Amino acid sequence: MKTKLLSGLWLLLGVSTLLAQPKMAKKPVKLISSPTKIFMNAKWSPDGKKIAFTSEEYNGLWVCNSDGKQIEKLTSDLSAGFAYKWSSDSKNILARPVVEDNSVRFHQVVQYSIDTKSKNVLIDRTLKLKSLPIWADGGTVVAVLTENGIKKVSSGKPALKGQIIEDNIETFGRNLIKGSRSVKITNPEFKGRYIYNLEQSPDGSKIVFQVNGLGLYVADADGSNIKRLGFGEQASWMPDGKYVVVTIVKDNGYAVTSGELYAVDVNSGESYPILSDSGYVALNPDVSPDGKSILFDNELDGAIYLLKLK
Amino acid sequence: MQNRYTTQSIIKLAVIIFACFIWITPGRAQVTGLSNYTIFIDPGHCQQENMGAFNYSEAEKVLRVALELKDMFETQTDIKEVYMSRLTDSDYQTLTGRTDLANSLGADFYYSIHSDATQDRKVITLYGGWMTDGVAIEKSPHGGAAFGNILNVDLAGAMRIPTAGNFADRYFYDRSDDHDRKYPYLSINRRSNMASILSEASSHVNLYQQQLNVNAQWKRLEALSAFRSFLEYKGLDRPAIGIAAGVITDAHNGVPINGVTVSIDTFTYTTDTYESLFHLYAYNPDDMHNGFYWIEGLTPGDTVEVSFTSDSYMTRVDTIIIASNPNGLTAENITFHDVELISSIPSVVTGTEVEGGFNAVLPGVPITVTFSREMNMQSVENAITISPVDSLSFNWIDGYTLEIETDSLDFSTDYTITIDGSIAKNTESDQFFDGDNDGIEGGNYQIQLTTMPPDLTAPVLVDKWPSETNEATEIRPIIRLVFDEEVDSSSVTASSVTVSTVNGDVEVNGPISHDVINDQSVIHFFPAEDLLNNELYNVRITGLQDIFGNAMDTTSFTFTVNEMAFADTTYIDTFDSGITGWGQPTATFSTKGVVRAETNCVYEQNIVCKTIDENSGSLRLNYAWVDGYSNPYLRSILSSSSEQNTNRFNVDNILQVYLFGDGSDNQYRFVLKDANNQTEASKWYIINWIGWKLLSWNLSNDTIIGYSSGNGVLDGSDFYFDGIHMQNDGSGKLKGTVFFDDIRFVSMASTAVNDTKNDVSVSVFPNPVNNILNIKSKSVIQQIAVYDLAGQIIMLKDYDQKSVKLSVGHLPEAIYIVNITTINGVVNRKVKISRQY
Repeated sequence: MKTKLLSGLWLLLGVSTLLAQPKMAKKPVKLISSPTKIFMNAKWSPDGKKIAFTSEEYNGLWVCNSDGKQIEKLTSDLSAGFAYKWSSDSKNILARPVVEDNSVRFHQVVQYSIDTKSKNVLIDRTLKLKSLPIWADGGTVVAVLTENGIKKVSSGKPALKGQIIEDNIETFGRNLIKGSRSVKITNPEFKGRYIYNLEQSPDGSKIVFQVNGLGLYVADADGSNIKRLGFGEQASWMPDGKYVVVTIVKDNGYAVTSGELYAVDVNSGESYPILSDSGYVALNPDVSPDGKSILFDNELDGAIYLLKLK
Repeated sequence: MQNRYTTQSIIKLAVIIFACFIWITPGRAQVTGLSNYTIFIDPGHCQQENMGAFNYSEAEKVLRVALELKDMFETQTDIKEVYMSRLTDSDYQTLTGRTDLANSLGADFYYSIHSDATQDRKVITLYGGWMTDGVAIEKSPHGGAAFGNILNVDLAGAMRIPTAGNFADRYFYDRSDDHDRKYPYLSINRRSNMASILSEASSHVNLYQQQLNVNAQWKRLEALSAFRSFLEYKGLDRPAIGIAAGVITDAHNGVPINGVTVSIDTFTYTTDTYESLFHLYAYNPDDMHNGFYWIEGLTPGDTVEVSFTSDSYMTRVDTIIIASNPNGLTAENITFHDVELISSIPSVVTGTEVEGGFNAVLPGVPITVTFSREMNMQSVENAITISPVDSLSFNWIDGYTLEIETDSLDFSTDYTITIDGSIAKNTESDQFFDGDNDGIEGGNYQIQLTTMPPDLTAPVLVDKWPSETNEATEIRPIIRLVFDEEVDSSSVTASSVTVSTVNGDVEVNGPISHDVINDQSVIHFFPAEDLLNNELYNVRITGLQDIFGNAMDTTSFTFTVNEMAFADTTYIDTFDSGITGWGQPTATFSTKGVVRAETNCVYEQNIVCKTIDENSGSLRLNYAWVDGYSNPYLRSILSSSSEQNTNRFNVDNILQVYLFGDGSDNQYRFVLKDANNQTEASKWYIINWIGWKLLSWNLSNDTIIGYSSGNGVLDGSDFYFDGIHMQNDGSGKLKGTVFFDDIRFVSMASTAVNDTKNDVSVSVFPNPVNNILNIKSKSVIQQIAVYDLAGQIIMLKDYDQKSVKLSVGHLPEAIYIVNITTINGVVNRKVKISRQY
């Protein structure tokens, strides 16, 4: 009887912990820094063992262990560090770098190998891309929106356990999302504006995105049930799909003066402070796969920090 | 001639129709070569951020420049796409949101449009970069520097202002030849992954510039320059354009003219007016002028006639050649033709004034007449007569302002002065004076006046400080004497006011000053040496008379010194070397409801607070409120980066200023910036005195009121002085002049437990005393002890009352310390017992 009561108590505590919004457990720790460069836009690998990050203007990509050690440069490609995406097996990174030739700025779609530091150019020197690329079909395919529609190319990666799941790919503004059919954007306020920084929830059912001039929104993956979530930016999903971690940014038109981290309940729209400290201008938050920590870059010192959650 | 002109017009019309046909034909852009190119245009800031002069923000201005530029790209080129970071005045967009968007869209170029927040009218362009071994290095991808090299020169030419240059952004903010941080300074350059640049085209706080900034075509001019610069950067030919533009000003005073219609062929343009535009930004119809005109669509290389017409000015017609150098600078493709117009309105009297009013003119006080235009002086003097006939003399202040001397007029007499409109003329257009103000030359102007009866009374002292009831709390108190009328300056000498101890043993040296404010004299005595604390002083006033020779009897009064001792005094500004660092009240948008032409700060060297050695200057603030304006406000900012504001203070200090009041009942308050850069203010002080007065704001005890961003709390330390703040709550006069001197902060001296406390107010008199010493306190006296200077107690007695008459007639002549214990503390007073008194 006593054992059952204790088990029930632990269960209740566990449930209440699960329901509670994420909070900072202890002060952020500086993980990656340089006296002459800034580092930013760090993202966890899906297995939580690696961290990728970039530098100013999103040029180049570096990879290190989850403790910030053993930093290795993956590429110097221009713009490779913007909106790059880890493969689900944590072995590759997909990016849209830039190549300049005779003052013409071409896009590429490139897959970088973490192990060999080699790169596989999937789409070379094009002026026709309209979106950032995404992984699809279990990582065997890369999809991107072009002026001629959605284009799929093989990544060369083998299917896991011999199974290939063919994703349905739809456009949402100039973004690609997976899994839904007949996506439609009906909000008239969005006319003439752009949808960007789109992130699909871990189970694929929801998307968060920003609209220029208007703020942060959440919607079902088919574009329905659009709800405004305030002015948070650069959203990163918690694994439970109930919260996104965002940064609330203030600036003076020339420099970013404040960046505070909040957890936003995507159902209620309520936001809860995680980090509000004048010692940090926290940007580009990225929640770890286990939901226990956040990486962010600090505009004040150009370093990447690790913040533990409770 | 007529036929030829008509034929020309027909040909031009055909050309225009043909051009329009080409223009509107889809798929036929004038400029090709951008079909694979995308640009991200970023109007800086958002909503109403960075408010500028006339309540028009930088954010609002640059959005309209950006929209014009977008339109030019989309209608004149084959560009693939033009993106905008924000679209409306209500959009909210952060810096990270802007660069994330541009990066997501994969734009080829990022152009951020700003304007300068300094008074300088100049162009600056800033690309992402830093210095290595003295060489500017641009971020990758390149392109911002190359575009900036073209843009900064072209903008400067088009806007006819200087350029500060094209800079690597980190070098602009940190002038090092070798930066440690080798990445861009500005967020938009650092976080965008394409070529990028930020431009600042002139200022949004400069009053002249901002009157141009509100004009739509002025913003189109800025966009046109950026557009053509971009085509040059991309190596593309620029289309030929035909534009005439310029600024129209009044030939006489140089003020830009509102409502002038400019015509070239079938094109017309009317310069902005209060009704058409300025009412959105100004309270008074005459507050804003830009005189800017802009006519485009002209044929490059043509010779054309341009006419300038206005109801109030003489029409002017000029011949100009429409400039054309398509691949040259934008300025080489605009015919800038600035003109001056001559007023066609005959001169009128715009004002007459005499001290005391026209019903009580004091013979000898001049009558001032102000004309609307510069007058032919001799013709005006010939035109003036007076009835009953008397001789008049004249004194011209300038071509507009005449003083009619009244020395020869009799007392208690009615007069009529006439200015004959068939004789007086102005200089510029030689038109006759419009005396009856009907808009037509001619007609007489008359001034009715009555002279006052002779003044037979002497000046009366109506206000003084310190006094019998107001102790001096400074060891060198400024003694202020205010009279009910003007005192004849010649009767004010060094011996007019003497200050000495009551027994006459010690006479205090010091200069005196005499100023006349609102027909009242104020005389100050500035002690040049420390007075004795707890001593009773006598002020004697003698030898004064008014301007009619009515002599004042000798009078005197006493006051006591009860010094509030300070441990340290730090001067923020003594104004001895000018008013550098102080902004004009009209230069900040915080100021509202003032008459701009009559509101300013100037350096003053005559009315000076002589509290410290070699004090030689003060700040003179002239102000005038707009009649009827609700809650007018005035703020003169002391720059946060000024040398004066290197003097920082904290909550333990007392802020002080000497304010020379004008008795206007307007209000002043202290304002500071705390460690959070929040603006905190003192209570309002009603300026109901004339002359110098020390104001104090005890930061640890007195009221703190949040102003603007302030919250009513003094956070942290290292505060600095924000500036002079004044208001009129409706009970103050509409105009006046006040002076400020010796802005400082002090810290209180530490006091022993039983020493004098400032909040214990006790009067001890007379001093010296012969028999009965009066001791009065605001709080109950509990004990009085008398000590000799050797520290021996002579008398000791307990009380429970506020007033005590202490008999000391039995004590020998000497100086004693009277120790008074009240329920609020203990004070000591030095008292002299003298049988000669």
